[in-house]
Amino acid sequence: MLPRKEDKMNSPETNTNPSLSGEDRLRRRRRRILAVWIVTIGAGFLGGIALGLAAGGALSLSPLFFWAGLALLAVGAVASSLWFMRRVDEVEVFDNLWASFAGLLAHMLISAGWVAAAARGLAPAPDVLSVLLATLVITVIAYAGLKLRRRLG
Amino acid sequence: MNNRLRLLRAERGWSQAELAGRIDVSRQAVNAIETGKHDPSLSLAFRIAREFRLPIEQVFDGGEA
Repeated sequence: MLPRKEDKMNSPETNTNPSLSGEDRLRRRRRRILAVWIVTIGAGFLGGIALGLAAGGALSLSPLFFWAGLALLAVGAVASSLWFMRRVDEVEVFDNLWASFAGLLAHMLISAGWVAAAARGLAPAPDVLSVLLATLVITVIAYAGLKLRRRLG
Repeated sequence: MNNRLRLLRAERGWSQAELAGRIDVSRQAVNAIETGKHDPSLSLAFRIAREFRLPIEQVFDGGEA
């Protein structure tokens, strides 16, 4: 049974040379996935630097260019995430979704908890960058934990 | 879901990496399916059965692992 178009988010079957051994095909697959990782992370890194420079005022941009750049960054982030998810297998998608869920939950709890604490005078006003950093750290820890569990299992 | 992946793989002398390359997933994915930590999607389960040239019910059954 050939995978239909809508199956692409579930372990897409890519064209690999059937004359190669499975281990050779796996090596090619690893290289392909590594390239996807490098492009996705590289794009995110460059986008982050550009956004950081714009936010810090180091880049003098007119409001139109700023919003256009931000829109481009958003489109690029969505496109590269979809591109990544369609090229990895379903276990990788599963791990990404669990880690993202952990990050989302952490983000909501930290934000709501900090706002509530600040409203009662128990904490300083919430800092957006600290919340984002905590979200990122928790997402990465959740992802690394899932990967470690798979390697040890 | 139970499966006979490890046994079928051993019968053919395939490593996890060999099977992973044949069905275009990572070696960790094969390990996760073999150890019952991941139930494959229907399309992947069919692909695995096709690789072993067996009907899907001879590779997987619906019982809990």
